[in-house]
Amino acid sequence: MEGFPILSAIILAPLLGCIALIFVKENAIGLIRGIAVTATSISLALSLCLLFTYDKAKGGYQFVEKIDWVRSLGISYHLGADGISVAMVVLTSFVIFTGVFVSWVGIKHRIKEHYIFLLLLVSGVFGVFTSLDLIFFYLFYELAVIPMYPLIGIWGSANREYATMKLTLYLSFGAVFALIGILSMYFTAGQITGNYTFDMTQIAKISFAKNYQIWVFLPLLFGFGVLVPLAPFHSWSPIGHAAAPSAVSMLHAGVLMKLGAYGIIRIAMGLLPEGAQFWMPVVAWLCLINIFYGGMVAMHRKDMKFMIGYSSSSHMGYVLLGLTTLNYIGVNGAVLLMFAHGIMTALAFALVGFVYDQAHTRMTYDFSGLAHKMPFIAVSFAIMGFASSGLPGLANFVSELMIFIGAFKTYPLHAVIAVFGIIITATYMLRALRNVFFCEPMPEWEHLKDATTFVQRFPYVVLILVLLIVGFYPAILVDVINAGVVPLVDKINGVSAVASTAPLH
Amino acid sequence: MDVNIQMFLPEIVVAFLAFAILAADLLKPRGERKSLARLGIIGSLVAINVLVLTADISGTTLSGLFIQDGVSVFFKILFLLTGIFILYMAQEYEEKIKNFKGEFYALILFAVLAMMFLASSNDFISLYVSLEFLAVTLYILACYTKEESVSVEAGLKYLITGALASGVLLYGITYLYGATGSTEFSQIKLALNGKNFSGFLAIGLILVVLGLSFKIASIPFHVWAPDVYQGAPTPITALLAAGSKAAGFVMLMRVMFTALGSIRPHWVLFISVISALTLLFGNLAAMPQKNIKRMLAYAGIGSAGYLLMGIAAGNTLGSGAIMFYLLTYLFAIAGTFLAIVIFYNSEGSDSIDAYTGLSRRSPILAATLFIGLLSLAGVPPLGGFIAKLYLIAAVVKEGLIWLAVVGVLMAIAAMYYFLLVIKRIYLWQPKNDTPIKVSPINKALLYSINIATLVLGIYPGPFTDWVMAIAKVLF
Repeated sequence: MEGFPILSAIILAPLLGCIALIFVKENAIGLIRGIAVTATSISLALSLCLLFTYDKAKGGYQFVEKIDWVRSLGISYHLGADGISVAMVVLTSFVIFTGVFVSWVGIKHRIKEHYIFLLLLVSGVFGVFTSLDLIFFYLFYELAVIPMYPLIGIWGSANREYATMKLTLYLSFGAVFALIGILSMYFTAGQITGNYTFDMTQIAKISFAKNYQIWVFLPLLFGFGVLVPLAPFHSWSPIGHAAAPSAVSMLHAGVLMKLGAYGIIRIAMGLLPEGAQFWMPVVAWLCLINIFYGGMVAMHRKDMKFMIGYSSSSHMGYVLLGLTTLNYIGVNGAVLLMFAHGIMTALAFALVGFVYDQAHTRMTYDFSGLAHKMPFIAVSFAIMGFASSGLPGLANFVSELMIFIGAFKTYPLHAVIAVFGIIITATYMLRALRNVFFCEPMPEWEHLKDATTFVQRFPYVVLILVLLIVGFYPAILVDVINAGVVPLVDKINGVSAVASTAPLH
Repeated sequence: MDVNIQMFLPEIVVAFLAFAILAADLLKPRGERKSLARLGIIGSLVAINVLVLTADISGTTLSGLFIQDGVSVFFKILFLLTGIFILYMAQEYEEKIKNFKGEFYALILFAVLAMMFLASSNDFISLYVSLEFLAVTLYILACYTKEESVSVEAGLKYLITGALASGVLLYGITYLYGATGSTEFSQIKLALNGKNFSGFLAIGLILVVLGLSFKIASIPFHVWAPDVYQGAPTPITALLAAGSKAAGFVMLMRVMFTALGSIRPHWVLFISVISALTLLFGNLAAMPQKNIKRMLAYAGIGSAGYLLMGIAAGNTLGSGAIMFYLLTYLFAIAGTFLAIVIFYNSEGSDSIDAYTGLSRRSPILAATLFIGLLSLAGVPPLGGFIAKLYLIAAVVKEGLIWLAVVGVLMAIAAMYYFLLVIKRIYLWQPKNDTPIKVSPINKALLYSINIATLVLGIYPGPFTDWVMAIAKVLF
């Protein structure tokens, strides 16, 4: 694989698919789906390649590509992946790959345009996770956000126009706020070295003054925090989930929410280590608000998509809590939970979407005993619920455990409180499972059909398999993630602190 | 007096062209005048060639009244391109104007000529004369559809505010002359060297900036813009948006950077406040608009606020950013307004309501508005994004973080109101879904404008290097 631009290929596969789709006739549905499946399976295959060829012993950024773009500003097309990026790229390719199959069943009109926007979005997401240039990071990010607008606006359900406008504006707002912090770093770094560049690896070498780091950390934290979404800027997220069509909800909750956390890791923590040390205790409290506020609201929501939406924002609280620990195991757990939660929540939205497409309602009180009519869906939903509540054997358990162990080292009080969040998750997940799928069947739902064909079942099987594989053999991912986490955590804690914190393995 | 004709050869070509059109208009029998527009377009292309061939002859002539340098060449190319787009749009719009005469095309070329002289003015005298020349042509053009009361109202409003602004500018110039003893920019710069900042100078500076704010439609002389944009014939609205604004900024750059650059610490706050107020007013007032030309007028006021950020920054990055912004702005405006003209020719309406479901009726018009409006809003990967990035970077570099925050917030506001239009175009169902016909040549033109906007956003390197290199001559 030496010399092959694998990261560019991962980004370009969906983009080329999208361009190919423009020239396909609207009614050639088979061809349209074929192109979408091909494009996303190329990305999936290449990203699995990435996972297995990443040199864990060497660590750092690998598969690097660099081409000058705007020399006068020091912007370059600079890609590279460390362990954290690799995990996120693999997550993205699984979600989009299954998302294409879910749309196969769910999307009935303007199919061609749907896939065009979906592929455009995902190539932006791949770009964000692999960019080592701050401007390209931002460009790819907007490339991922803008297609959300038509995707929710055209194919969404109730309240979609309000939801899509709110989501697009919030997401862009967060990003431009972070952009101010990025520009400030660019000029300050340029003044220090005399070499103006947006290259993250170059800026990372500079140690800014402590006071400066503390100030600039704020716009970055706020900007990316909106995307996470960190309370109190989370309101765009559940409403966006609820209105979006299934595949878009999957991508949105599974991947887009991770962009904010990734930005915090890569840019805020990676470039401003002392700022991170200063602010993380504050963030830890916000995480608790996220966990409990999100969880409580999820308990009271009767609309299943809203429930999962708030549950996502509660789980992102755990992710951030893991990041605030600033030790190996906590940060590793956070990245692994980003992966596990991405897969789990994609599964959740796909399942709810499947039921909604037939029943045209998502209210838990409208249903009862669906397991009699759709056993496959019921079992999948149960597995998803177990994963979400952190039952052993599934990926979420491992990652949450790691976060709690990490948090006990740094913030014992927070950790003790946060553990109770799991009970809340279990409460609403199990309650939804009971109300919707178990109890007596209702006559009005006699006509519902289970997922029977290969295309219908395939995405759920893939997602559940991923959850199980990572759950039973987490090392497959953790070893790679760890190769990215160790240098980051070392940098933040300073080299002296390394000796006191035992490595993970 | 030294006269170097080669330096203003392109201007001579354009002047000759305008008079030729006037003459040909008399000779031609009654009927359509589209061939005159084609003559104008070809002539403008010749002028661009002449300009490029003589671009390396730089310096001042006509006793320092006229200057040719990288900046003036850049702006002249920009104005000639604007002229070509406007002439093309005008010949598409010809049937919509009763009693249409060929002088319409000649007047457009005279306006282009005036803007070219503005780009080269190196002295308050030549600046003022060119400015009035431009104003007179635009007064006539703005109220050209004489039987429509909105158009006449537009012309009248434009005339009255314009005359007031000119008076303010002239008054300011006299103060600056009193303070420095010269009207030539480089002489003023020398005179200010080592001189204490006085109240006398401050009055002159404030009045000159306020006077120039009329052309760029920034606060406080912005009130004319919405009515005039809405009332004027659409090609002229585009001329006001793309051409007149650029002309205003080349003046501001020469005055603020070359003449008054040394006293920047005294005016930076003043310009920053005007910029912030203009940004806030333009973008917030654009939100409730129902007419697309009126919305673009308010958005144009917002754009003036962005461009003023580059003036406030007062560095090479800022002035390069202004030029790049105007370049992307030209393509966004050309695409958007050509689409508006084609739509108006078919539907007879400019109300945003009428655009409902346009994507089903004409994908190319919908795509053009999508790209044009989002480029104006500054969404990547379109040209407008790179331009705004440069402007925000320029003010962050000078430590004006608060101004950058205002700029960023208003970029989101701009996204909001443009998305409202795009929502109607893409998400809503049309009331009648008869397709709108777009002729092949219009289609080709729209495609190339859209590609230009995309190229400026995806591969801006060569263009930004160019503007950054020429921006240095101002300081």
